[in-house]
Amino acid sequence: MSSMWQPAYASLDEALTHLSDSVDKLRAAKSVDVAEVVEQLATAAEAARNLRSFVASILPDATWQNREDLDGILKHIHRVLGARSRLEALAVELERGSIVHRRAVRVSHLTELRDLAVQELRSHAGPGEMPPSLPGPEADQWIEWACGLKEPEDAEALETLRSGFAQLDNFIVNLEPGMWKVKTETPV
Amino acid sequence: MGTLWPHTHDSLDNSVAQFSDSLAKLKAAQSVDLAEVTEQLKSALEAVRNLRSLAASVLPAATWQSREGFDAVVAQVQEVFDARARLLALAAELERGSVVHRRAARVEQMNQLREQAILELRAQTEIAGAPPRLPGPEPERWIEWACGLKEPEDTESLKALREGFAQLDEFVANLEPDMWVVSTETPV
Repeated sequence: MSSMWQPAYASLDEALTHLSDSVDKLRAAKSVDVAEVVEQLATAAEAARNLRSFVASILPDATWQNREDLDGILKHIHRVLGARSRLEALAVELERGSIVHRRAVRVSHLTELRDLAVQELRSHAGPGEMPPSLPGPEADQWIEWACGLKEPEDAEALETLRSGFAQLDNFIVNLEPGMWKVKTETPV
Repeated sequence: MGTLWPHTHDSLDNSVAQFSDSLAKLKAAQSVDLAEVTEQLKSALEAVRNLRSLAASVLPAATWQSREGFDAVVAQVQEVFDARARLLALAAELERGSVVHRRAARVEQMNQLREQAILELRAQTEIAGAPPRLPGPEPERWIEWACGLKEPEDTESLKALREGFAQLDEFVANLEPDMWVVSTETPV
């Protein structure tokens, strides 16, 4: 998702480099093509607008006064987007799998809990501040990892999970590893 | 309650037999101790009252006109006692075991379901008339059996369980066989 702002950022830098060259020429009392400089200014302003708009879409309350602040905000956004992307990937993983159990009522209950967990993950992955920290490995190994968490050995990871993702935790508490099946797509 | 029943039933038979013996003596113009015969009659009436009261407490609508009819009611009452004893034995079996799971929340949840199942079993033994039919084997093998029930193969047993014992069904639907541990007492 960082690819969303990198072109605008690069475009701003490039436009500013051209402008800086023009400033150097002017400072050296050399002539410049006014129309070209105006074009560079317009390009830089457009890139700055795009960046501001992007930052506002992720962190509506963010403000900054200089380039260092902006870079700090963009780093923070990078982390937010990474965390959101991880949550979205886990939501997709949860949707990809299915519950198998001897009793239909248990399948239905666990499927409801799974759906609530997916909603919770998407809600945290949506616009807003930094989502809560999700402990554990990447999405494709996450469920197996979470089903192996035990009390009291894994109290810290469990506390993080419970406090940030109550529905996901409730789903995992109720899920036995043998009840979770993920369809594997085999190429024809 | 079941142990009181045969005792009262025998008591009626004995006192009626003694009273009949006295009548046979009278029929043979032999002398009898009137006070003793009166006592036998009172004993027989007392046993009748006890039996009627016991039968009414178990099967309030039961009526009979003959010894055969009464024996049929006795058989029904005995079936009710047996069914109640089976439910109480299963309640005791549920109390004897314990739930083990990697997550404390799940243990707590299952213990609550277990408590509700025990309350339900005990409540079913206190209602007048026959309790609902509990499918499956005797209590010590019941939980293992119930955890092996699958849909759709065991639909009939599951329907009987669900209709008669909703809480017990919920406990079993949520229980995985390896979560249930029964402590075995080893003689010193």
